[in-house]
Amino acid sequence: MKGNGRIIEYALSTLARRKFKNFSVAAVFSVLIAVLSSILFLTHAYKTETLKLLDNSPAIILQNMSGGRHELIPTEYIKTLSGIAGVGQIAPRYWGYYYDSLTSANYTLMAVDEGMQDVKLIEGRMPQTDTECAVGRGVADLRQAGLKDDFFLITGAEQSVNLKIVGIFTANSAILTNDLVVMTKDGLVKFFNMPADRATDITIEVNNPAEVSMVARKIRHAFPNSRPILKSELIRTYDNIFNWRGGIVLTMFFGAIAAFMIFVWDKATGINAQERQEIGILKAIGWETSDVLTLKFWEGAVVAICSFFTGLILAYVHVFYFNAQFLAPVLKGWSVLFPRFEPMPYIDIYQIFVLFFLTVVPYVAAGVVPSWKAAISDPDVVMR
Amino acid sequence: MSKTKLFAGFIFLEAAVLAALYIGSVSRVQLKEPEMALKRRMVRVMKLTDVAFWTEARYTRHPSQADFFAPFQDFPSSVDHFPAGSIAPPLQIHGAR
Amino acid sequence: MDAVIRTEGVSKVFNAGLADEVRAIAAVSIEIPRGRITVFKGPSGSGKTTLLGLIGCMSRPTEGKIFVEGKDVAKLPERFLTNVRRKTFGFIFQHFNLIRGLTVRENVMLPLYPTDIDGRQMERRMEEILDKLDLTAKRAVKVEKLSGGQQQRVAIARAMINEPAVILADEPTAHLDTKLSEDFLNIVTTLNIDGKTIVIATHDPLIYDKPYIDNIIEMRDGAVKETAPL
Repeated sequence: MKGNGRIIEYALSTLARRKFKNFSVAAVFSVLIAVLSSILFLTHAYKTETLKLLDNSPAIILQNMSGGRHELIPTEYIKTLSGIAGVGQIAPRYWGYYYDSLTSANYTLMAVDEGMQDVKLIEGRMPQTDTECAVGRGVADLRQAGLKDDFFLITGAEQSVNLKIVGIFTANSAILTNDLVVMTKDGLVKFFNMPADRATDITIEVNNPAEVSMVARKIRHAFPNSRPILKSELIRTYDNIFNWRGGIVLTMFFGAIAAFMIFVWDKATGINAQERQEIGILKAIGWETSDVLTLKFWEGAVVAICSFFTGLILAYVHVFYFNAQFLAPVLKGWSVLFPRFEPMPYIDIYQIFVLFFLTVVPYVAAGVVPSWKAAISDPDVVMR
Repeated sequence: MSKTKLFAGFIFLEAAVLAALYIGSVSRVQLKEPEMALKRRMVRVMKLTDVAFWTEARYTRHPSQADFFAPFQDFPSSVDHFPAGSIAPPLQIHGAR
Repeated sequence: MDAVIRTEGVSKVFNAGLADEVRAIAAVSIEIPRGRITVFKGPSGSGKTTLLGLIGCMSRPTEGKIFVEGKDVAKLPERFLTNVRRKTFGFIFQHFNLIRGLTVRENVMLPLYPTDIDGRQMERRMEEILDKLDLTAKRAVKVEKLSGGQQQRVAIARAMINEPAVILADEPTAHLDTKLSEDFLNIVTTLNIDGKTIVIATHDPLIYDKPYIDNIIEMRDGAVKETAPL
């Protein structure tokens, strides 16, 4: 091993002199990296999965507006809609919310239609009669109900609707189905007391994806009181929500980041007398300025790279093997119906590089820059 | 040169673990691809527009769907302005369930 | 006379232009003969340490010329100055200036770390020197655990590892008792016999009163008082 290798060896020796201090720095650094990358990993994993899934949503969802508020939509609109050029399949959706005072949880009630009968991620089957229902895993667990158990919902008039559970959505689909209660259309319309000629909203497919916004404009022209929601808007909303949630969490850890920055700043703005003396000695015995800077580079890089790798490993294990136990509540909220699915391990290498350049590089620079000033001055200080 | 070897060994080990984790993640994603395909199909046929992440309040369940806004949440002991209570869990007020 | 180092009208001013400006040495012209022991003698503050630093390329003179092996180094850029320093000089500092927390072995090899010298050759050279200075048993001991005399021997070993032509020592006996000072002189004499040029800055009569010290440059108030070659 030649010059540079021996400088690394020497850098390791100098680090080993202050084992406790350097280990503490490395530990704090690792935890910081672990926290930051946990947030990035988890947010990215959830976001990627969500966006990949919602890319299959209907192209347009048409809502009816009344007084600036969402209203049930007349199903007779469908006739007019199918006359618009470029419009594909049109279907009404029937769904609504139900607050279950028994479990303090919100369920989403949804009507089944024929196309849904062959959904695969279900244990049992979809409901076929007005007394049957299929529920999400979260709902079933919360009600401690299994297949063929009774499931009752209370209507406004304190009367209850009794249903039989004929299907439970599998746990691995919980990201979509955790809080669902799927009923027949007639059962749902009756339960919610909806007028017969109304639906919650209408989904519209568009044959050519490039024409979506034009179709939407035509719809708004035909029904000035309606609001079309485009798939692109839906995806943008989710993108924003995840970025915002991730940002909130990052803000919470701002204190930790600030503390670390102060620590780096403290290192960057001055080196102590002993370090200055040692740099002088090295210069005096024949080290060049570049050799001293190489040494300082390695002193920083050894700590920073070890910590960075350790932090990444910790974060990965935390997020993808322990389902982000420490972080998930903050990102997913404290819902009663808490979704319990594993995040899919989607990794963004670019994010890791950004994190590297925002943490490792400043740390190393904070070691090199102040030494540079000491290293370019004449070494005769060590003689005084 | 023992310390350099130790350090190089440690970094190599960590890099190997990271590489293994990354390869693991890629293969896990691939392994789950059939399941993802089923879920994508589920979104298509059930015409879903939202994920079941935040069920605390009705207006957080379907963020992409404009709706009535509830000034009071169905779960009244939530201390957080944040609808699904990111910062603190809801208080368990006696009898408030 | 064959001179390793020659100075011509060298001056050094510290803090030039400031209120606390100090003229450490003024218009010093000396010659260091090859293969002999030269002593800068004088009270503290006489400028001998500054002069030692200047001829050892530790800093540059404010005025004048310094020739090392016939080459003027006074205006050399820093990189070349370091190179001359590394190849020509070995330093023994007053406070030894060892790196605390490191072993004897590491301290001695320190000057060779950034060089391209082969590792095995480096080890061999170190073993030889440690053996010569009776430090072999202490090679893995941290330097701060050693006695003053041992620490100085480590400093000497470090100065020798480059195989320099000239060894410079600044007040080498200041922290040693009489016995250890004698030991130091013995080592230095041996090195001299091996062909090294030795330059010592000191105000210790134990050194400059020795009969075999043959070139004394006496300094006072930053100037050479008299040159007394025998």
